[in-house]
Amino acid sequence: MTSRIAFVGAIIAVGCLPFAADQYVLYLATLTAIYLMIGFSLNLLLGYTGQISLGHAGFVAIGAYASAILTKHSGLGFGLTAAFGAGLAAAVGFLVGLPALKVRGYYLALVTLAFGEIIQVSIRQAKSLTGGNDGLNVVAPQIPGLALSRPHTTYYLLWVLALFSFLAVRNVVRGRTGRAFACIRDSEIAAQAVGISVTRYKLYAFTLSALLAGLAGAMYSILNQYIHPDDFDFSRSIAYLMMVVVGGLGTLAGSAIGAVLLAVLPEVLRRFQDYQELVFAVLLLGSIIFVPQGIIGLGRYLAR
Amino acid sequence: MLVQVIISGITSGAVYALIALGFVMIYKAAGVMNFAQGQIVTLGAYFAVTLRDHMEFSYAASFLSAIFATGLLGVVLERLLFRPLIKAHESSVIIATIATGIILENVIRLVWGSEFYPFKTPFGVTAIDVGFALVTPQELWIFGITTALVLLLYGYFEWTKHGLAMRAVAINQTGSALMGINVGRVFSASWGINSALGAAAGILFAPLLAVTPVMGNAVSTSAFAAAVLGGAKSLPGAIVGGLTLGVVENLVGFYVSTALKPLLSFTLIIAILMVRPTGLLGREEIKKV
Repeated sequence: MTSRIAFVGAIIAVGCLPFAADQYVLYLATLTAIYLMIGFSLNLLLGYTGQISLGHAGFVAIGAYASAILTKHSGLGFGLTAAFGAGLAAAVGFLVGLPALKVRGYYLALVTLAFGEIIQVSIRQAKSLTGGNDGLNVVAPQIPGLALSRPHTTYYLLWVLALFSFLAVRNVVRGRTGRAFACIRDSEIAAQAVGISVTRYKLYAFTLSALLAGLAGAMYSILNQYIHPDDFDFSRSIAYLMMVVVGGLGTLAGSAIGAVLLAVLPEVLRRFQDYQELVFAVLLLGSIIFVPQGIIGLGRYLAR
Repeated sequence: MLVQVIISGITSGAVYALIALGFVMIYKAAGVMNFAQGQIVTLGAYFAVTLRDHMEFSYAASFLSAIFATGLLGVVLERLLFRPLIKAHESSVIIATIATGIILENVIRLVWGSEFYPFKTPFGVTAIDVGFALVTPQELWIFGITTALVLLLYGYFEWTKHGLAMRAVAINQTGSALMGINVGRVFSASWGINSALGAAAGILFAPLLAVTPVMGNAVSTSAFAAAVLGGAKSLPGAIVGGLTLGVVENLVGFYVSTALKPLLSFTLIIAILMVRPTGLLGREEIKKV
Protein backbone atom coordinates (compact mmCIF):
# COMPACT_ATOMS: atom_id res chain seq x y z
CA MET A 1 0.00 0.00 0.00
CA THR A 2 2.71 2.48 0.96
CA SER A 3 4.52 1.75 -2.28
CA ARG A 4 1.35 2.48 -4.24
CA ILE A 5 0.92 5.80 -2.44
CA ALA A 6 4.59 6.61 -3.07
CA PHE A 7 4.16 5.80 -6.76
CA VAL A 8 1.09 8.01 -7.19
CA GLY A 9 2.80 10.74 -5.20
CA ALA A 10 5.85 10.54 -7.43
CA ILE A 11 3.71 10.75 -10.58
CA ILE A 12 1.91 13.83 -9.29
CA ALA A 13 5.21 15.44 -8.26
CA VAL A 14 6.71 14.74 -11.67
CA GLY A 15 3.61 16.10 -13.42
CA CYS A 16 3.57 19.33 -11.43
CA LEU A 17 7.29 20.02 -11.29
CA PRO A 18 7.60 22.06 -14.53
CA PHE A 19 5.18 24.66 -13.14
CA ALA A 20 7.35 25.31 -10.11
CA ALA A 21 10.88 24.77 -11.40
CA ASP A 22 13.29 27.05 -13.20
CA GLN A 23 15.07 26.03 -16.38
CA TYR A 24 18.00 24.40 -14.63
CA VAL A 25 15.98 22.32 -12.18
CA LEU A 26 13.85 21.25 -15.11
CA TYR A 27 16.97 20.10 -16.94
CA LEU A 28 18.07 18.07 -13.93
CA ALA A 29 14.62 16.54 -13.62
CA THR A 30 14.69 15.58 -17.30
CA LEU A 31 18.13 14.07 -16.80
CA THR A 32 16.69 12.07 -13.90
CA ALA A 33 14.22 10.46 -16.30
CA ILE A 34 17.14 9.31 -18.46
CA TYR A 35 19.05 8.00 -15.46
CA LEU A 36 15.90 6.20 -14.40
CA MET A 37 15.80 4.30 -17.69
CA ILE A 38 19.49 3.44 -17.42
CA GLY A 39 18.94 2.40 -13.82
CA PHE A 40 16.09 0.03 -14.76
CA SER A 41 18.22 -1.31 -17.57
CA LEU A 42 21.25 -2.06 -15.39
CA ASN A 43 19.14 -3.33 -12.52
CA LEU A 44 17.43 -5.77 -14.84
CA LEU A 45 20.83 -7.20 -15.66
CA LEU A 46 22.71 -6.98 -12.36
CA GLY A 47 19.95 -6.89 -9.78
CA TYR A 48 17.48 -9.33 -11.30
CA THR A 49 19.59 -11.63 -13.46
CA GLY A 50 22.90 -11.37 -11.58
CA GLN A 51 24.95 -10.49 -14.67
CA ILE A 52 27.42 -7.69 -14.07
CA SER A 53 28.06 -5.00 -16.66
CA LEU A 54 31.05 -2.70 -16.32
CA GLY A 55 30.47 -1.19 -19.74
CA HIS A 56 26.89 -0.05 -19.57
CA ALA A 57 27.80 3.42 -20.77
CA GLY A 58 28.78 1.66 -24.01
CA PHE A 59 25.16 0.74 -24.70
CA VAL A 60 24.04 4.26 -23.88
CA ALA A 61 26.70 5.56 -26.26
CA ILE A 62 25.52 3.35 -29.11
CA GLY A 63 21.95 4.58 -28.71
CA ALA A 64 23.05 8.20 -28.52
CA TYR A 65 25.47 8.14 -31.45
CA ALA A 66 23.40 5.91 -33.72
CA SER A 67 20.29 8.05 -33.39
CA ALA A 68 22.22 11.33 -33.66
CA ILE A 69 24.14 10.24 -36.75
CA LEU A 70 21.02 8.92 -38.44
CA THR A 71 19.13 12.13 -37.73
CA LYS A 72 21.99 14.16 -39.15
CA HIS A 73 22.37 12.22 -42.40
CA SER A 74 18.89 10.99 -43.21
CA GLY A 75 16.49 13.61 -41.95
CA LEU A 76 14.23 10.85 -40.66
CA GLY A 77 11.78 11.65 -37.89
CA PHE A 78 12.79 11.54 -34.27
CA GLY A 79 10.74 8.47 -33.40
CA LEU A 80 12.40 6.43 -36.12
CA THR A 81 15.96 7.46 -35.30
CA ALA A 82 15.46 6.85 -31.59
CA ALA A 83 14.05 3.42 -32.39
CA PHE A 84 17.04 2.77 -34.62
CA GLY A 85 19.47 3.77 -31.84
CA ALA A 86 17.73 1.58 -29.31
CA GLY A 87 17.47 -1.29 -31.78
CA LEU A 88 21.15 -1.14 -32.64
CA ALA A 89 22.04 -1.08 -28.94
CA ALA A 90 19.80 -4.11 -28.43
CA ALA A 91 21.53 -5.97 -31.26
CA VAL A 92 24.91 -5.21 -29.72
CA GLY A 93 23.53 -6.22 -26.33
CA PHE A 94 22.61 -9.57 -27.82
CA LEU A 95 26.18 -9.95 -29.09
CA VAL A 96 27.63 -9.01 -25.69
CA GLY A 97 25.26 -11.54 -24.16
CA LEU A 98 26.87 -14.31 -26.18
CA PRO A 99 30.12 -14.41 -24.17
CA ALA A 100 27.97 -14.21 -21.04
CA LEU A 101 26.72 -17.68 -21.90
CA LYS A 102 30.23 -18.98 -21.45
CA VAL A 103 31.71 -16.79 -18.77
CA ARG A 104 30.38 -15.50 -15.48
CA GLY A 105 31.42 -13.46 -12.49
CA TYR A 106 34.86 -11.97 -12.83
CA TYR A 107 35.28 -12.99 -16.43
CA LEU A 108 32.00 -11.40 -17.42
CA ALA A 109 33.16 -8.25 -15.66
CA LEU A 110 36.30 -8.31 -17.81
CA VAL A 111 34.31 -8.87 -21.01
CA THR A 112 31.87 -6.04 -20.35
CA LEU A 113 34.70 -3.75 -19.27
CA ALA A 114 36.50 -4.52 -22.52
CA PHE A 115 33.29 -3.94 -24.47
CA GLY A 116 32.80 -0.48 -22.96
CA GLU A 117 36.39 0.49 -23.71
CA ILE A 118 36.21 -0.79 -27.29
CA ILE A 119 33.11 1.33 -27.92
CA GLN A 120 34.88 4.28 -26.31
CA VAL A 121 38.02 3.95 -28.44
CA SER A 122 36.00 3.30 -31.61
CA ILE A 123 33.95 6.47 -31.13
CA ARG A 124 37.10 8.51 -30.62
CA GLN A 125 38.72 7.01 -33.70
CA ALA A 126 35.80 7.15 -36.16
CA LYS A 127 36.13 10.92 -36.51
CA SER A 128 34.33 11.31 -39.81
CA LEU A 129 31.18 9.74 -38.40
CA THR A 130 31.20 10.63 -34.72
CA GLY A 131 33.30 13.78 -34.62
CA GLY A 132 35.79 11.98 -32.38
CA ASN A 133 37.09 14.09 -29.51
CA ASP A 134 35.37 17.20 -30.87
CA GLY A 135 32.01 15.72 -29.99
CA LEU A 136 28.91 15.76 -32.13
CA ASN A 137 26.22 18.40 -32.38
CA VAL A 138 22.79 16.85 -32.42
CA VAL A 139 20.12 18.28 -34.66
CA ALA A 140 17.03 18.98 -32.59
CA PRO A 141 14.43 16.55 -33.86
CA GLN A 142 11.00 17.64 -34.99
CA ILE A 143 7.80 15.85 -34.22
CA PRO A 144 4.65 17.13 -35.87
CA GLY A 145 2.69 19.04 -33.26
CA LEU A 146 5.47 18.78 -30.68
CA ALA A 147 8.24 21.33 -30.67
CA LEU A 148 10.93 19.32 -28.94
CA SER A 149 13.32 22.18 -28.49
CA ARG A 150 11.07 23.44 -25.76
CA PRO A 151 12.31 22.06 -22.45
CA HIS A 152 8.82 21.33 -21.14
CA THR A 153 7.96 19.08 -24.05
CA THR A 154 11.23 17.19 -23.73
CA TYR A 155 10.62 16.85 -20.02
CA TYR A 156 7.17 15.32 -20.42
CA LEU A 157 8.20 13.12 -23.33
CA LEU A 158 11.11 11.66 -21.37
CA TRP A 159 9.11 11.10 -18.24
CA VAL A 160 6.39 9.34 -20.23
CA LEU A 161 9.10 7.12 -21.72
CA ALA A 162 10.56 6.50 -18.27
CA LEU A 163 7.10 5.55 -17.00
CA PHE A 164 6.65 3.13 -19.89
CA SER A 165 10.08 1.64 -19.23
CA PHE A 166 9.13 1.23 -15.60
CA LEU A 167 5.89 -0.56 -16.45
CA ALA A 168 7.61 -2.74 -19.04
CA VAL A 169 10.46 -3.78 -16.75
CA ARG A 170 8.08 -4.31 -13.85
CA ASN A 171 5.94 -6.60 -15.98
CA VAL A 172 8.97 -8.55 -17.09
CA VAL A 173 10.42 -9.04 -13.62
CA ARG A 174 7.10 -9.86 -11.98
CA GLY A 175 6.19 -12.55 -14.46
CA ARG A 176 7.52 -15.90 -15.50
CA THR A 177 10.57 -14.29 -17.11
CA GLY A 178 11.44 -12.49 -13.91
CA ARG A 179 11.31 -15.73 -11.95
CA ALA A 180 13.59 -17.34 -14.52
CA PHE A 181 15.98 -14.38 -14.19
CA ALA A 182 16.03 -14.69 -10.40
CA CYS A 183 16.64 -18.41 -10.64
CA ILE A 184 19.60 -17.87 -12.98
CA ARG A 185 20.96 -15.22 -10.62
CA ASP A 186 20.76 -17.50 -7.59
CA SER A 187 21.99 -20.69 -9.23
CA GLU A 188 22.51 -21.36 -12.89
CA ILE A 189 22.74 -25.07 -12.30
CA ALA A 190 19.45 -25.16 -10.41
CA ALA A 191 17.88 -23.13 -13.21
CA GLN A 192 19.01 -25.65 -15.79
CA ALA A 193 17.81 -28.49 -13.60
CA VAL A 194 14.25 -27.15 -13.50
CA GLY A 195 14.23 -26.66 -17.24
CA ILE A 196 14.91 -22.96 -17.59
CA SER A 197 16.80 -22.22 -20.79
CA VAL A 198 19.74 -20.25 -19.38
CA THR A 199 20.85 -19.34 -22.89
CA ARG A 200 17.53 -17.85 -23.85
CA TYR A 201 16.95 -15.88 -20.68
CA LYS A 202 20.48 -14.52 -20.41
CA LEU A 203 20.34 -13.29 -24.00
CA TYR A 204 16.88 -11.88 -23.31
CA ALA A 205 18.16 -10.00 -20.28
CA PHE A 206 21.15 -8.57 -22.14
CA THR A 207 19.10 -7.57 -25.19
CA LEU A 208 16.32 -5.92 -23.21
CA SER A 209 18.78 -4.16 -20.94
CA ALA A 210 20.77 -2.83 -23.91
CA LEU A 211 17.54 -1.75 -25.63
CA LEU A 212 16.57 0.37 -22.66
CA ALA A 213 20.07 1.79 -22.27
CA GLY A 214 20.16 2.61 -26.00
CA LEU A 215 16.81 4.35 -25.78
CA ALA A 216 18.10 6.35 -22.82
CA GLY A 217 21.15 7.25 -24.91
CA ALA A 218 19.01 8.50 -27.80
CA MET A 219 17.08 10.64 -25.32
CA TYR A 220 20.30 11.93 -23.81
CA SER A 221 21.44 13.13 -27.22
CA ILE A 222 18.30 15.16 -27.82
CA LEU A 223 18.26 16.55 -24.29
CA ASN A 224 21.82 17.88 -24.49
CA GLN A 225 21.90 18.43 -28.27
CA TYR A 226 25.58 17.66 -28.05
CA ILE A 227 27.36 14.38 -27.27
CA HIS A 228 30.99 13.70 -26.50
CA PRO A 229 32.88 10.42 -25.86
CA ASP A 230 33.53 11.60 -22.29
CA ASP A 231 29.78 11.34 -21.61
CA PHE A 232 30.06 7.58 -22.03
CA ASP A 233 33.39 6.63 -20.49
CA PHE A 234 34.26 4.10 -17.81
CA SER A 235 33.53 6.52 -14.99
CA ARG A 236 29.96 6.87 -16.30
CA SER A 237 29.57 3.09 -16.26
CA ILE A 238 30.69 3.16 -12.64
CA ALA A 239 28.35 6.05 -11.83
CA TYR A 240 25.48 3.91 -13.18
CA LEU A 241 26.63 1.02 -11.02
CA MET A 242 26.62 3.34 -8.03
CA MET A 243 23.09 4.37 -8.90
CA VAL A 244 21.68 0.84 -8.82
CA VAL A 245 23.83 -0.48 -5.97
CA VAL A 246 23.34 2.45 -3.60
CA GLY A 247 19.63 2.60 -4.45
CA GLY A 248 19.19 -1.12 -3.97
CA LEU A 249 19.73 -4.04 -6.32
CA GLY A 250 16.70 -5.97 -7.43
CA THR A 251 14.19 -3.25 -6.64
CA LEU A 252 12.95 -0.72 -9.18
CA ALA A 253 12.18 1.82 -6.46
CA GLY A 254 15.86 1.56 -5.53
CA SER A 255 16.87 2.51 -9.06
CA ALA A 256 14.54 5.50 -8.88
CA ILE A 257 16.18 6.70 -5.67
CA GLY A 258 19.59 6.08 -7.23
CA ALA A 259 18.63 8.07 -10.34
CA VAL A 260 17.60 11.09 -8.29
CA LEU A 261 20.83 10.76 -6.32
CA LEU A 262 22.94 10.60 -9.47
CA ALA A 263 21.28 13.70 -10.91
CA VAL A 264 21.32 15.75 -7.70
CA LEU A 265 24.65 14.76 -6.11
CA PRO A 266 26.86 16.56 -8.67
CA GLU A 267 24.89 19.73 -7.93
CA VAL A 268 25.26 19.34 -4.18
CA LEU A 269 28.96 18.72 -4.69
CA ARG A 270 29.39 21.50 -7.20
CA ARG A 271 31.69 23.47 -4.92
CA PHE A 272 33.79 20.37 -4.44
CA GLN A 273 34.11 19.38 -8.08
CA ASP A 274 37.40 17.59 -7.47
CA TYR A 275 35.85 15.35 -4.88
CA GLN A 276 32.85 14.25 -6.90
CA GLU A 277 34.30 10.99 -8.20
CA LEU A 278 35.74 10.29 -4.76
CA VAL A 279 32.34 10.72 -3.11
CA PHE A 280 30.72 8.40 -5.67
CA ALA A 281 33.33 5.74 -5.07
CA VAL A 282 33.11 6.04 -1.27
CA LEU A 283 29.32 5.77 -1.45
CA LEU A 284 29.61 2.72 -3.65
CA LEU A 285 32.18 1.01 -1.45
CA GLY A 286 30.37 1.89 1.77
CA SER A 287 27.13 0.62 0.36
CA ILE A 288 28.63 -2.68 -0.79
CA ILE A 289 30.28 -3.35 2.58
CA PHE A 290 27.77 -1.99 5.07
CA VAL A 291 24.38 -1.93 3.33
CA PRO A 292 24.48 -4.44 0.48
CA GLN A 293 20.71 -4.10 0.09
CA GLY A 294 21.02 -0.39 -0.66
CA ILE A 295 18.87 2.47 0.56
CA ILE A 296 15.65 0.57 -0.10
CA GLY A 297 16.89 -2.41 1.89
CA LEU A 298 17.98 -0.13 4.71
CA GLY A 299 14.56 1.51 4.71
CA ARG A 300 12.81 -1.84 4.86
CA TYR A 301 15.08 -2.95 7.68
CA LEU A 302 14.38 0.19 9.70
CA ALA A 303 10.65 -0.03 9.06
CA ARG A 304 10.46 -3.51 10.55
CA MET B 1 64.60 -3.13 -36.55
CA LEU B 2 62.39 -6.15 -35.87
CA VAL B 3 64.71 -7.29 -33.08
CA GLN B 4 64.62 -3.81 -31.59
CA VAL B 5 60.82 -3.76 -31.58
CA ILE B 6 60.72 -7.21 -30.00
CA ILE B 7 63.19 -6.19 -27.29
CA SER B 8 61.21 -3.14 -26.24
CA GLY B 9 58.14 -5.41 -26.36
CA ILE B 10 59.80 -7.77 -23.92
CA THR B 11 60.54 -4.82 -21.64
CA SER B 12 56.88 -3.87 -21.34
CA GLY B 13 56.04 -7.56 -21.34
CA ALA B 14 58.20 -8.11 -18.26
CA VAL B 15 56.35 -5.35 -16.44
CA TYR B 16 52.99 -6.80 -17.52
CA ALA B 17 54.14 -10.18 -16.28
CA LEU B 18 54.98 -8.78 -12.83
CA ILE B 19 51.58 -7.16 -12.48
CA ALA B 20 49.82 -10.21 -13.91
CA LEU B 21 51.66 -12.42 -11.40
CA GLY B 22 50.29 -10.42 -8.48
CA PHE B 23 46.88 -10.44 -10.07
CA VAL B 24 46.88 -14.22 -10.54
CA MET B 25 48.19 -14.82 -7.01
CA ILE B 26 45.44 -12.87 -5.38
CA TYR B 27 42.87 -14.57 -7.59
CA LYS B 28 44.17 -18.02 -6.76
CA ALA B 29 44.69 -17.56 -3.05
CA ALA B 30 41.91 -15.19 -2.07
CA GLY B 31 39.50 -15.70 -4.96
CA VAL B 32 39.45 -11.98 -5.69
CA MET B 33 40.05 -10.40 -9.08
CA ASN B 34 41.61 -7.10 -8.23
CA PHE B 35 40.41 -4.29 -10.46
CA ALA B 36 42.36 -1.76 -8.37
CA GLN B 37 45.66 -3.13 -9.64
CA GLY B 38 46.39 -0.17 -11.90
CA GLN B 39 46.05 2.33 -9.08
CA ILE B 40 48.31 0.26 -6.83
CA VAL B 41 50.96 0.30 -9.57
CA THR B 42 50.61 4.07 -9.82
CA LEU B 43 50.80 4.53 -6.06
CA GLY B 44 54.04 2.54 -5.89
CA ALA B 45 55.62 4.87 -8.44
CA TYR B 46 54.43 7.95 -6.53
CA PHE B 47 55.90 6.64 -3.29
CA ALA B 48 59.24 6.05 -4.97
CA VAL B 49 59.32 9.42 -6.73
CA THR B 50 58.47 11.24 -3.52
CA LEU B 51 61.04 9.39 -1.44
CA ARG B 52 63.79 9.90 -3.96
CA ASP B 53 63.20 13.39 -5.27
CA HIS B 54 61.72 15.08 -2.21
CA MET B 55 63.20 13.19 0.72
CA GLU B 56 66.57 12.50 -0.86
CA PHE B 57 66.53 8.73 -0.47
CA SER B 58 68.91 6.80 -2.70
CA TYR B 59 67.36 4.91 -5.63
CA ALA B 60 67.76 1.56 -3.91
CA ALA B 61 66.34 2.79 -0.62
CA SER B 62 63.36 4.50 -2.27
CA PHE B 63 62.73 1.40 -4.44
CA LEU B 64 62.65 -0.91 -1.42
CA SER B 65 60.72 1.42 0.90
CA ALA B 66 58.10 2.15 -1.76
CA ILE B 67 57.61 -1.56 -2.38
CA PHE B 68 57.33 -2.21 1.34
CA ALA B 69 54.89 0.67 1.91
CA THR B 70 52.66 -0.39 -0.98
CA GLY B 71 52.71 -4.00 0.21
CA LEU B 72 51.66 -2.82 3.65
CA LEU B 73 48.84 -0.83 2.09
CA GLY B 74 47.70 -3.99 0.32
CA VAL B 75 47.48 -5.80 3.65
CA VAL B 76 45.53 -2.91 5.18
CA LEU B 77 43.11 -2.86 2.21
CA GLU B 78 42.52 -6.58 2.60
CA ARG B 79 41.85 -6.35 6.34
CA LEU B 80 39.62 -3.28 6.09
CA LEU B 81 37.69 -3.80 2.88
CA PHE B 82 37.96 -7.26 1.45
CA ARG B 83 37.90 -9.48 4.53
CA PRO B 84 34.30 -8.39 5.27
CA LEU B 85 33.35 -9.35 1.72
CA ILE B 86 34.77 -12.84 1.93
CA LYS B 87 31.36 -14.49 1.64
CA ALA B 88 29.85 -11.81 -0.60
CA HIS B 89 28.73 -12.35 -4.18
CA GLU B 90 31.42 -11.98 -6.86
CA SER B 91 29.73 -8.90 -8.28
CA SER B 92 30.04 -7.18 -4.90
CA VAL B 93 33.75 -7.92 -4.73
CA ILE B 94 34.25 -6.64 -8.28
CA ILE B 95 32.43 -3.42 -7.48
CA ALA B 96 34.37 -3.06 -4.22
CA THR B 97 37.77 -3.39 -5.92
CA ILE B 98 36.75 -0.92 -8.64
CA ALA B 99 35.54 1.57 -6.05
CA THR B 100 38.81 1.12 -4.15
CA GLY B 101 40.73 1.85 -7.34
CA ILE B 102 38.78 5.05 -7.98
CA ILE B 103 39.30 6.14 -4.38
CA LEU B 104 43.05 5.50 -4.64
CA GLU B 105 43.28 7.42 -7.91
CA ASN B 106 41.44 10.40 -6.43
CA VAL B 107 43.50 10.35 -3.26
CA ILE B 108 46.60 10.40 -5.46
CA ARG B 109 45.19 13.44 -7.30
CA LEU B 110 44.48 15.20 -4.01
CA VAL B 111 47.90 14.51 -2.53
CA TRP B 112 50.16 14.91 -5.57
CA GLY B 113 48.01 16.92 -7.98
CA SER B 114 47.40 16.10 -11.61
CA GLU B 115 50.69 17.30 -13.12
CA PHE B 116 53.23 14.67 -14.01
CA TYR B 117 56.43 13.87 -12.20
CA PRO B 118 59.39 12.81 -14.32
CA PHE B 119 61.20 9.86 -12.80
CA LYS B 120 64.83 9.82 -13.92
CA THR B 121 66.49 6.47 -14.36
CA PRO B 122 69.64 6.23 -12.23
CA PHE B 123 71.50 4.28 -14.90
CA GLY B 124 72.03 6.85 -17.62
CA VAL B 125 70.40 6.81 -21.02
CA THR B 126 73.23 5.70 -23.31
CA ALA B 127 72.14 2.51 -25.02
CA ILE B 128 74.41 -0.50 -24.81
CA ASP B 129 75.16 -2.49 -27.97
CA VAL B 130 74.63 -6.16 -27.18
CA GLY B 131 75.52 -7.32 -30.68
CA PHE B 132 72.12 -7.75 -32.26
CA ALA B 133 70.36 -4.73 -30.83
CA LEU B 134 70.65 -1.64 -28.67
CA VAL B 135 69.41 -1.96 -25.10
CA THR B 136 69.10 0.85 -22.57
CA PRO B 137 70.39 0.23 -19.05
CA GLN B 138 66.86 0.74 -17.69
CA GLU B 139 65.63 -2.08 -19.93
CA LEU B 140 68.38 -4.35 -18.66
CA TRP B 141 67.46 -3.38 -15.11
CA ILE B 142 63.80 -4.25 -15.80
CA PHE B 143 64.77 -7.68 -17.15
CA GLY B 144 67.09 -8.29 -14.22
CA ILE B 145 64.70 -7.28 -11.45
CA THR B 146 61.78 -9.10 -13.03
CA THR B 147 63.78 -12.29 -13.33
CA ALA B 148 65.00 -11.95 -9.75
CA LEU B 149 61.48 -11.33 -8.42
CA VAL B 150 60.08 -14.28 -10.36
CA LEU B 151 62.81 -16.57 -8.98
CA LEU B 152 62.19 -15.21 -5.49
CA LEU B 153 58.47 -15.95 -5.82
CA TYR B 154 59.22 -19.41 -7.15
CA GLY B 155 61.43 -20.13 -4.17
CA TYR B 156 58.81 -18.77 -1.82
CA PHE B 157 56.10 -21.03 -3.17
CA GLU B 158 58.34 -24.05 -3.52
CA TRP B 159 60.45 -24.05 -0.38
CA THR B 160 58.84 -22.01 2.37
CA LYS B 161 56.07 -22.97 4.76
CA HIS B 162 54.11 -19.80 3.95
CA GLY B 163 54.33 -20.52 0.24
CA LEU B 164 53.08 -24.03 0.83
CA ALA B 165 50.18 -22.66 2.89
CA MET B 166 49.31 -20.30 0.09
CA ARG B 167 49.29 -23.11 -2.45
CA ALA B 168 47.13 -25.20 -0.16
CA VAL B 169 44.60 -22.40 0.30
CA ALA B 170 44.46 -21.92 -3.46
CA ILE B 171 43.48 -25.56 -3.84
CA ASN B 172 41.02 -25.91 -0.99
CA GLN B 173 40.17 -23.25 1.56
CA THR B 174 38.17 -25.34 3.98
CA GLY B 175 40.64 -28.18 3.88
CA SER B 176 43.52 -25.81 4.57
CA ALA B 177 41.70 -24.25 7.49
CA LEU B 178 41.11 -27.71 8.95
CA MET B 179 44.83 -28.45 8.63
CA GLY B 180 45.55 -25.47 10.85
CA ILE B 181 46.45 -22.95 8.17
CA ASN B 182 45.45 -19.42 9.05
CA VAL B 183 43.49 -18.70 5.88
CA GLY B 184 42.94 -15.05 6.75
CA ARG B 185 46.67 -14.50 7.06
CA VAL B 186 47.18 -16.12 3.66
CA PHE B 187 44.67 -13.69 2.17
CA SER B 188 46.51 -10.76 3.74
CA ALA B 189 49.84 -12.08 2.51
CA SER B 190 48.55 -12.50 -1.04
CA TRP B 191 47.28 -8.90 -1.05
CA GLY B 192 50.60 -7.75 0.38
CA ILE B 193 52.69 -9.58 -2.20
CA ASN B 194 50.39 -8.54 -5.00
CA SER B 195 50.65 -4.87 -4.05
CA ALA B 196 54.42 -5.11 -3.60
CA LEU B 197 54.76 -6.65 -7.08
CA GLY B 198 52.52 -3.93 -8.51
CA ALA B 199 54.63 -1.24 -6.88
CA ALA B 200 57.82 -2.81 -8.23
CA ALA B 201 56.31 -2.83 -11.70
CA GLY B 202 55.28 0.80 -11.34
CA ILE B 203 58.74 1.93 -10.24
CA LEU B 204 60.44 -0.08 -12.98
CA PHE B 205 58.17 1.33 -15.64
CA ALA B 206 58.11 4.92 -14.34
CA PRO B 207 61.20 6.16 -16.24
CA LEU B 208 59.68 4.94 -19.52
CA LEU B 209 56.42 6.79 -18.94
CA ALA B 210 55.98 9.66 -16.51
CA VAL B 211 54.39 9.41 -13.11
CA THR B 212 50.77 10.61 -13.45
CA PRO B 213 47.58 9.65 -11.59
CA VAL B 214 46.53 7.42 -14.51
CA MET B 215 49.97 5.99 -15.25
CA GLY B 216 49.09 2.47 -14.10
CA ASN B 217 45.72 2.18 -15.82
CA ALA B 218 46.76 1.25 -19.35
CA VAL B 219 49.62 -0.88 -18.05
CA SER B 220 47.35 -2.86 -15.78
CA THR B 221 44.75 -3.33 -18.51
CA SER B 222 47.44 -5.00 -20.57
CA ALA B 223 48.38 -7.01 -17.48
CA PHE B 224 44.75 -8.17 -17.12
CA ALA B 225 44.80 -9.30 -20.72
CA ALA B 226 48.13 -11.03 -20.08
CA ALA B 227 46.73 -12.85 -17.07
CA VAL B 228 43.64 -13.93 -19.00
CA LEU B 229 45.85 -15.04 -21.87
CA GLY B 230 47.77 -17.20 -19.44
CA GLY B 231 44.65 -18.63 -17.86
CA ALA B 232 44.12 -16.23 -14.90
CA LYS B 233 44.99 -19.00 -12.46
CA SER B 234 48.40 -20.03 -13.66
CA LEU B 235 51.57 -18.30 -12.46
CA PRO B 236 53.75 -19.50 -15.37
CA GLY B 237 50.84 -18.53 -17.61
CA ALA B 238 51.00 -14.97 -16.31
CA ILE B 239 54.67 -14.73 -17.25
CA VAL B 240 54.18 -16.26 -20.69
CA GLY B 241 51.06 -14.15 -21.24
CA GLY B 242 52.82 -10.96 -20.16
CA LEU B 243 55.82 -11.42 -22.43
CA THR B 244 53.68 -12.50 -25.39
CA LEU B 245 51.34 -9.58 -25.02
CA GLY B 246 54.19 -7.10 -24.64
CA VAL B 247 55.80 -8.27 -27.87
CA VAL B 248 52.56 -8.52 -29.87
CA GLU B 249 51.46 -5.09 -28.67
CA ASN B 250 54.71 -3.54 -29.77
CA LEU B 251 54.68 -5.29 -33.14
CA VAL B 252 51.12 -4.13 -33.80
CA GLY B 253 51.98 -0.63 -32.62
CA PHE B 254 55.00 -0.47 -34.87
CA TYR B 255 53.85 -2.20 -38.04
CA VAL B 256 50.10 -1.57 -38.05
CA SER B 257 49.01 1.45 -36.03
CA THR B 258 49.59 2.86 -32.58
CA ALA B 259 45.89 3.71 -32.42
CA LEU B 260 45.17 -0.01 -32.33
CA LYS B 261 47.40 -0.62 -29.33
CA PRO B 262 44.81 0.11 -26.63
CA LEU B 263 42.19 -1.90 -28.52
CA LEU B 264 44.42 -4.95 -28.68
CA SER B 265 44.22 -5.91 -25.01
CA PHE B 266 40.47 -5.48 -24.89
CA THR B 267 39.78 -7.43 -28.06
CA LEU B 268 42.15 -10.10 -26.85
CA ILE B 269 40.31 -10.40 -23.52
CA ILE B 270 36.99 -10.89 -25.27
CA ALA B 271 38.40 -13.21 -27.93
CA ILE B 272 40.14 -15.49 -25.43
CA LEU B 273 37.18 -15.66 -23.11
CA MET B 274 34.91 -16.46 -26.05
CA VAL B 275 37.06 -19.20 -27.49
CA ARG B 276 38.74 -20.56 -24.40
CA PRO B 277 37.33 -19.09 -21.19
CA THR B 278 40.05 -20.69 -19.09
CA GLY B 279 42.88 -19.08 -21.05
CA LEU B 280 45.66 -20.64 -23.06
CA LEU B 281 47.27 -22.53 -20.19
CA GLY B 282 44.26 -22.78 -17.88
CA ARG B 283 42.42 -25.95 -17.10
CA GLU B 284 38.66 -26.38 -17.36
CA GLU B 285 36.96 -25.74 -14.05
CA ILE B 286 34.20 -28.06 -12.99
CA LYS B 287 31.70 -26.52 -10.63
CA LYS B 288 30.50 -28.79 -7.88
CA VAL B 289 26.97 -28.34 -6.67
